[in-house]
Amino acid sequence: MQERDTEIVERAIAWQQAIAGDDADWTAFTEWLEADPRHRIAFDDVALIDAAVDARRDALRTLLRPDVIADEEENCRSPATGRRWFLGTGIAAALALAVGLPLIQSQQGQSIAYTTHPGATRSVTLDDGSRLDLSADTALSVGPHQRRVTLARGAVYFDVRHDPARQLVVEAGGYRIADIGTRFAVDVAGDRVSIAVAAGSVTVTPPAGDPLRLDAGDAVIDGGNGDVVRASVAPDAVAAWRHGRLTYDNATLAKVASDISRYTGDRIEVADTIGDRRFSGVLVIGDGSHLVSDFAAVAGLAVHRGADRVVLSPGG
Amino acid sequence: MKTDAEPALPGLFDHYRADLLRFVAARTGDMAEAEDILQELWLRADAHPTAAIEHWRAYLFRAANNLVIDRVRARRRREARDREWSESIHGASSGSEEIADPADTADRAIEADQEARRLAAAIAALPEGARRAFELHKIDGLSHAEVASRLGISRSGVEKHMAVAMKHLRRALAD
Repeated sequence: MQERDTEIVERAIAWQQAIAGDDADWTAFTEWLEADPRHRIAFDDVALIDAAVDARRDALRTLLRPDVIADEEENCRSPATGRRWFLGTGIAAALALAVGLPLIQSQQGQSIAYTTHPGATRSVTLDDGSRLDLSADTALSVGPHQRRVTLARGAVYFDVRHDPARQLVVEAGGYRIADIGTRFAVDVAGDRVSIAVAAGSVTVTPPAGDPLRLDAGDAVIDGGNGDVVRASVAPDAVAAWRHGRLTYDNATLAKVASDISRYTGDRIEVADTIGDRRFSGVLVIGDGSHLVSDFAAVAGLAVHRGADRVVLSPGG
Repeated sequence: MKTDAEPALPGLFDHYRADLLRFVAARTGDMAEAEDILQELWLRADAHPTAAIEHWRAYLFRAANNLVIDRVRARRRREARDREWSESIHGASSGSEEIADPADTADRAIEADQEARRLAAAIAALPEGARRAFELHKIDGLSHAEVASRLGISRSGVEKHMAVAMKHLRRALAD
């Protein structure tokens, strides 16, 4: 479920108003808070502003209506129509420059983590409308001000609005991806990192090396043991998992096994002797239950199901 | 001997404890802190005279919510103060004002004044309709119904104004 920040804030405001009543549904409120960490954070902001205004009410009355006479009986103007003289540039500017402690650390000021379980996917929508589709068994965090995304593991497909004023940066496995205005996918599995661009372009800075530019159809694949290759990829094949498929073009069996693990929840391993053997083909994800057997059948492997893992070996 | 006509608050607290804990944990995102807050709520509930409170459950939940807010507010201010202080130590502070010593009560007054000014500036910058509704409700203490009558709009119109005001304030007051 995708939820925009403004929608969340509106819900938070609605809840703030709702709990003031005596017949508020506190259980429903609890459930809303539990549904997403962003809810709790947005509500904190709203509640804190409310509390601050209450705490400073007297000072605010003076600051906002300095011309209202204190003695109510002599005041024939209602407060609502008092002159707002301080909106003149001098005073307003002075007020605006009043530096104080930040009142709230808004949602934009915190990092938020998103994770998915094996076999589950989810979407996250940022403030600017950019969308992140998370694959199964994925963990990433969105940094303060939603400018940096760090991918710890898993696969993410980005659909990012280009905004020169607000550069999104993605960090994954030591790689830094910037200059984004585009659709691209990043995949991190242990030491393996791959980046593929479906549309637009990105600038990728490897952990050690010069930045390189990837355009639509370009990909970088870091096998994790020193070999980094550039490859071409059909834009449709980028993050094919979004359409229920896993596509491989000369990928190692180990890589395929690792991907399948995300959907099955089991640890899938390939016998050492064949770990580097290559595989090209398409696997249908479905509900994940046939992935192992389908892969074994197409790649000519035998399946051994152990207590805590599944091992694929030559033959079969 | 207490009469049975008024339920004892501590007994009610036990009755709602599980729900309250779940709520506070959802509010704070931290189970350990939630337990702590429940403990504080219990102590306060115990000390509170069992006057006739119509809606016990709502009362306890609101009290729990207020405790959470107090703590978050205090923590945020402490963090911001520490941040300012360490920035001044490292020479990274950009303002020319003196940095408050966290322990100085006179500086607390300055802090309160600064917060009020910041709020006032943000409120003054609100769109006109939202500002009027916000001030009448939050500064002058009129109910939504009274604000609606004063401004000649419906109650839901008032609620919409309040939502607009809060959205603007949140953006204006973030760090």
